[in-house]
Amino acid sequence: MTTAFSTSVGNSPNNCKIILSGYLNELAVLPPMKKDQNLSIDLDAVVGINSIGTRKWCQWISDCTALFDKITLENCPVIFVKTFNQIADSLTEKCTVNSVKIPFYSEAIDERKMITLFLGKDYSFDGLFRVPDVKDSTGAAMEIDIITDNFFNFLKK
Amino acid sequence: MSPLLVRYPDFLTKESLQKVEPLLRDIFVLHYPTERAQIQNLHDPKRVIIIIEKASLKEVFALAERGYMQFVNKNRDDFSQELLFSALMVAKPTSFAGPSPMFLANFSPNTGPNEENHVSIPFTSNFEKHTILEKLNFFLMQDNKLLNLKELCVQVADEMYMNAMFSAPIDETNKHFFQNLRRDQNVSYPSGKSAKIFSCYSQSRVIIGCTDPYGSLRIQTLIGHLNAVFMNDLAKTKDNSAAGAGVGLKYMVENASLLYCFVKPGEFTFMACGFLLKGMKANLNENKNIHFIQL
Repeated sequence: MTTAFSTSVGNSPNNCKIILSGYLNELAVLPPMKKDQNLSIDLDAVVGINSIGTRKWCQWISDCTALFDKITLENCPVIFVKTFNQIADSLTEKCTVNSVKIPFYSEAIDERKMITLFLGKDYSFDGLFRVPDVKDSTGAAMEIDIITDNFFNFLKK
Repeated sequence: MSPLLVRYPDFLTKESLQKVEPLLRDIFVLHYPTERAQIQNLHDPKRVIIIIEKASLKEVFALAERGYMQFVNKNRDDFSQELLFSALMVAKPTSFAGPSPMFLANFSPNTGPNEENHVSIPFTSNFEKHTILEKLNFFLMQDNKLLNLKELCVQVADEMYMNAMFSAPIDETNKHFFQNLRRDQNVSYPSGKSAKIFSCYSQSRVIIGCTDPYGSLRIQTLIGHLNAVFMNDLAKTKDNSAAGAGVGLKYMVENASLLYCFVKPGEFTFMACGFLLKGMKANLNENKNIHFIQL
């Protein structure tokens, strides 16, 4: 859970992709980036973030905004989406959250599943929010385990 | 506003009520927002429990700034029990002075804490944080109900740890000597001092808490920070401090369904967050219970 933070950067013409993983805290180092057209940030393997990590993220994403024309975020864990909704500078005008991982929960058997939702297909800037049917291991319907009223507030930023 | 025992004569069984009735006689409840007009006239808010019918956290902390210390949400299954806790905290705060998280987790005398459902991990330096959060993480992996809340719990524990490590320590002149250091620096408590992170869980709740040996936090200062953080919908990270600019506080309050803060100046600060074992949503909503005690 609190595994050390690491990054992996790959480049193709006009595009830069960075994979972040581990726990984003005061020891995490977010790398300086070089100017390019598009930046894709994969957050799938980020397991947590604390307040100092949040400050680092806000500063880094602000720096990236000055360097790239477009920034997309992929596979955002719920703990990160929560940050997008709670913290003012955590997303900038050039950021697009392309996909989010949402927990579904079955209280009867304490089962949890993470389901990835995609921009355009499951949610959109104009208010679309399609909750997929998710079944637990007994075949019963699972409940979405977020407060849907405000979960996509970050789209309004 | 009305006396607690008049407004809620049946919130305890007759047997329980007999035991605590003398203590609870002069405790009052005020329903918010229904009775908000009466707030202006109250002279001793510390004897009043605010019963939240519907309120944002911004409203709750604005009330706290006026001196109210106990907030119990009416729209919860644990209302009666939380009302009793609040009443006892008002009536006899010193009985909560031995910082024990057990009552917060809803233990009954027959299902008390044991080695499996309770962990307490002392620490003296920032260097240990990673290991201690790993231990907590391991503890939270033993039950599916806890597993669902692990990210929220660890995030809260991390913030508590940093507060205890960097904000709590004071010297004999009451100077917070680590407060302005960068949080990636390794610092240690002076010899003989230690703090601890603890957790315990029952069938219905898990508690994550931290206690430090300084008791340097002032509840009104904390409430002032909470007010500033919740004044706007979104918290800002840009300030000149070395800490998280209130973001940690926001995480602690918003993640949990229960916030408990008890300070005995010069002796200890005890912070705890409670999580209902019903998935994330049950904890992230605004139906929170909040208790402050400062002796």
